[in-house]
Amino acid sequence: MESHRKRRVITLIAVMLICGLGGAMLLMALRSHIELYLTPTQLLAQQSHLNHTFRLGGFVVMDSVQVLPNQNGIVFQVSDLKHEVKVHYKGILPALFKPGKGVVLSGMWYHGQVEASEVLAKHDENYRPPGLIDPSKIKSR
Amino acid sequence: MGPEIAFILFILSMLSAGGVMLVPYSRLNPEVILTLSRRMAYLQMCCLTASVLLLLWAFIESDLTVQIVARYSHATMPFMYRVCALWGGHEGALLLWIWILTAYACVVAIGRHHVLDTLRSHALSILALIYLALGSFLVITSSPFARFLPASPDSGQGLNPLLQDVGMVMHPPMLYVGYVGLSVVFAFTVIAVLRNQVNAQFARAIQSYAWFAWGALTVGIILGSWWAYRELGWGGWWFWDPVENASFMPWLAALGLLHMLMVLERTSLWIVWTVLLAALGFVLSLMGTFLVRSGILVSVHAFAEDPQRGLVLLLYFGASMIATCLLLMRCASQSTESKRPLAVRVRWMAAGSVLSMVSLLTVVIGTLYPLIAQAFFQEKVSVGAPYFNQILTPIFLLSAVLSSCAVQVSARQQKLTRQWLQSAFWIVMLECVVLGLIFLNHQPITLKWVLASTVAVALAYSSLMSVYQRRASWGMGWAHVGFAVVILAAVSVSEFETLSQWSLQPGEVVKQGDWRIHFQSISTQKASNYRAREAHIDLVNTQTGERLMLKPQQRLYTDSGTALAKVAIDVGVWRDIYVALGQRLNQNQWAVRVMIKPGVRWVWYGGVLMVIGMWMVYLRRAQAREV
Repeated sequence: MESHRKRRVITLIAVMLICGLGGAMLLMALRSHIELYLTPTQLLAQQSHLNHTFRLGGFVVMDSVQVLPNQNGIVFQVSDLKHEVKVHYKGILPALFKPGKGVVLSGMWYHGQVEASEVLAKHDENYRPPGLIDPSKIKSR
Repeated sequence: MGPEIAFILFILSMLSAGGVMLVPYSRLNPEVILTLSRRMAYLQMCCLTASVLLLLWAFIESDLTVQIVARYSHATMPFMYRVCALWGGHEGALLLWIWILTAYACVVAIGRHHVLDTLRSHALSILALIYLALGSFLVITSSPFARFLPASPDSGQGLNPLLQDVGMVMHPPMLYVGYVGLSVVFAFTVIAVLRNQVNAQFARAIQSYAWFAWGALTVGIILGSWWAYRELGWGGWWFWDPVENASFMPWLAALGLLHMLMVLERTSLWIVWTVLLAALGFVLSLMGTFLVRSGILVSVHAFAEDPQRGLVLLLYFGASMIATCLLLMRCASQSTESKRPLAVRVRWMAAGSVLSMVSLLTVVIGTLYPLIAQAFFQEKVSVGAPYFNQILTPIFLLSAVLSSCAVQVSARQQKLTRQWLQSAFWIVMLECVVLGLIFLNHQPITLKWVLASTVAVALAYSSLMSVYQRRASWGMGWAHVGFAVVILAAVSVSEFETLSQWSLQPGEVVKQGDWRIHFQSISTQKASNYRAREAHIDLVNTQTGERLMLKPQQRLYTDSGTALAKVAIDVGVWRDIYVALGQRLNQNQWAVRVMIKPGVRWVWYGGVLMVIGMWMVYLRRAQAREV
């Protein structure tokens, strides 16, 4: 009986150790793969220590979309109605990307502009980026 | 009058559900109670079905005075999509959920099985409780029967174009059949725990429900993945999007549960663990509904944000969590110790279920972390796909290794070294053949691919061998081969796929790998509910001379004003060629994306193989029961 109980305790400790270790590894992996979600204002405020991928949400500024020559992608401005950030993207824009509409993209901060790696359009036409108000509503007020 | 009658019928079905819920606690004799529960369950089903059909009629007729019709349907949509616009919105989807719940309640009521019969009326009572909870939530926060009166809009808003696809017809119902099936298993388990009847006979009897639910969930997930691949224009088959995870979490729990039920059937051991998995399956399917429907996480689906709805569902979620904890405490106080030595395979199976639990935890943490971060650290974050891939790839490979060991072991065998060495030899030989074939085809080989293919070959070989040596059934064999195929296909796609993006003018020619891509022309197309620009892209394989013409489109849906990129895919057994037309860059230039994806089909074929395996096991069990 005594040895049986001892074995149980040992098993329990082993299980807890494994779980703890696994959990710690999990959290580390998690911390290294999260992307902060920022608005242009927040991005400009903390640009100095942005050395990993983040997500940016805002509205595409009207008439700001430009196609660069020689397959160099496009640039456009993203705004949260307070500040604007310039974004460069090489690749296909989703069909829902439109000047004046909301956009969420992930990218890195590079030479004073955002190098977007992906422009997300995983949303319907009524979508607006979290934390922002709809500019069309402001106009109507 | 349609929706009003539908509403009255709905209330009637709620009343009979109330009857089903309460009758087991009356002092009638048990047989009378069972008969009463059965009849009231049928009545509940009939009323709700009639109610749903009346709403469906409103959709078919495009009766715009009904709010959900005006919001999700449009008279110009094809018939099929007008029908499935019923579950295009939050209200209709929940209605579908509870309709499937009543259908299951009917199946439970019809069923006859000597072990389950003593539990049946109480299980029906729990199902009726779930029905009442979700049904009252539905009518109070978002009634599907509401009208726009006196003034109704002139035309409907139309279904989101992304949803106008054959996937919409099949994916949500299938997924819900899986979700709700888990709540049936849960209901029986709760009663069995309270009656102290969780034992081998119970495990055997409940298994067919669990198998069925898991199979339906698998089909639902495969359909969802295939749909996203074709419609979202991103070319991936799995995004680790919160909503996808919402369906994947109950799937993992159900997978663990199935294995543990088989263990329980043989040993009467690990009852707490089994009950935990059964409860998790149910709780996670509720959470899935909550995550998808509250719009609390930014996702592919991005439904309307309505915190109130989310809050109520969260409340139900919390209540079922508490119930689960109480259940487990009660269960733990009953569990017994076994004195017999354990059969080897049983241990392996239990270990497998632990692994599925670990992967479940990984997904849960990754999915919920953004919510936690927002609540506690006031920062908005999202967890990217690399997190899931990094952690889950090794876990899945490990579980494949584990199951390839497990299937080789027969029930009572103890000495295994020789057998393992033998099969290891054959596995290595087979793997060499596979690598040789790949090498002859001039494909680059990566270390990760070698590893994954070895594991997959090992699993497929040992499953088929154990079927051949009559240590396992065909169903089990195919299910595991399916898992091997999914692993191999998933790794092949991620290692070997090529992607390139161009801005092209009509007449321009570019090269990608062996393919010569000729952007021929662009034209305008028209259909009943959209206008489209269609590119004609000619692809020629310079090695084999194979020639393809693909026509991707940019569509503008006229009823809702929504744009959608319709990709063109050349489906092949060994590779898919995926072409998407992007934005117009300037007067005469268009963005084009070309992807070559080796083996992507096999991700779904492997899933289908799993379902076939499950179906064979299910039929065999059904037969065994009749004999």
